[in-house]
Amino acid sequence: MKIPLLPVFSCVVIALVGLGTTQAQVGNGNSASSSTTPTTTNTEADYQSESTATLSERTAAKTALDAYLAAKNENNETRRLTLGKAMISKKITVRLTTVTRLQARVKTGACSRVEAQYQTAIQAQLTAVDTNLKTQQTQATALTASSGIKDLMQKVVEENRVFIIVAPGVKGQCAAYGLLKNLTKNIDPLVAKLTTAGADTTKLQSYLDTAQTSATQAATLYKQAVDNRAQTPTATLTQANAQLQVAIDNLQLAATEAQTLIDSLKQTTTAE
Amino acid sequence: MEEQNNPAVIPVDEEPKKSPLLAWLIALLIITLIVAGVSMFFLSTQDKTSESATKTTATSVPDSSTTSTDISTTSTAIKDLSTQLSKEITAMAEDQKSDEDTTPTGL
Repeated sequence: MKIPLLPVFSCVVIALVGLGTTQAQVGNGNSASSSTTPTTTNTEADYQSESTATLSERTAAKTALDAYLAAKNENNETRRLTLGKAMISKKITVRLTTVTRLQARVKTGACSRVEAQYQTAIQAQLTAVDTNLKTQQTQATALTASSGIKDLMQKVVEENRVFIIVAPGVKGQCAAYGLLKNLTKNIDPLVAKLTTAGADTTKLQSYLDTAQTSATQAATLYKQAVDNRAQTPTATLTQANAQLQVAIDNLQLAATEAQTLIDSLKQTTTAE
Repeated sequence: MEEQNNPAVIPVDEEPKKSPLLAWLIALLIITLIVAGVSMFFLSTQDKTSESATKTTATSVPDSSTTSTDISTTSTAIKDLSTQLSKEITAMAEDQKSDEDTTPTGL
């Protein structure tokens, strides 16, 4: 006996529509719960400067530099070449160690909490630096005359600018993008609750909006600085820092305003 | 008798043809049972989902005392953010002062 196809097809469609509705409801439930993600805090290690963190590698590089400079005036090309290559290698190690630390920060550390798209973009910047340093490491190993040492050393420093541009630029992006995510995920829902509770949050919202705008500008500038690291864009970094400072100042104003509103609400509740 | 002798009419032991209407009725009965089963399944799932959603909402926007606790963290949460950023700016400033990115002289 043949089963008529039309009613069977209708049945399948009904079931699929039902499934879609159910899944949409589950999705809404999840998003409601994610809005209350607690504010995350960094550890003290997250605030350590890269110069401090790589002290032993920098000391080894300084020792290698001094040894090369001492040998430079000796009439021994083999020794000059060997010590020159060792110096470049140590200088590259300091930088690679820093880049690895920054990569870990972005992958699993303080910066892993930024939105995935920014995390990927920052990782791409670090990968570019890492690749360039490893290429220069290979070039150093391949040197056959000490006359090439100066140029290569210059490239290692100037093409990468790991300490004065990349490290602050990456940390700045992490801070700015982290702030933006925190505002959206943690602070905005709290402000909404204050409003629901009857507080006039106009001023508070205005401070937070300014913080958000400044953080967005800061993030863009930090990114530009890292992208253009070979041009040593210290002015761009200074502008980015200034924008981040504006965000911090407005956050402090927002915190004070929020406290005033909370105290006011408490008084109203007590009076009732 | 005449029919039995006619070679053109041979009695065949074939299944009598069922009415198409009966086939439709059986199909509809099966489909109704399936739809009822599917509906009951989804209704029970939706009940659980809406129950879960209510619980989630209750966690997010709970009674007035919990709401008050949540709200009181607003200032602290904002302050924490501000403190974190200040510390990060300080660390960044220290990085920016590093002499490691100066090409060594005398090379």
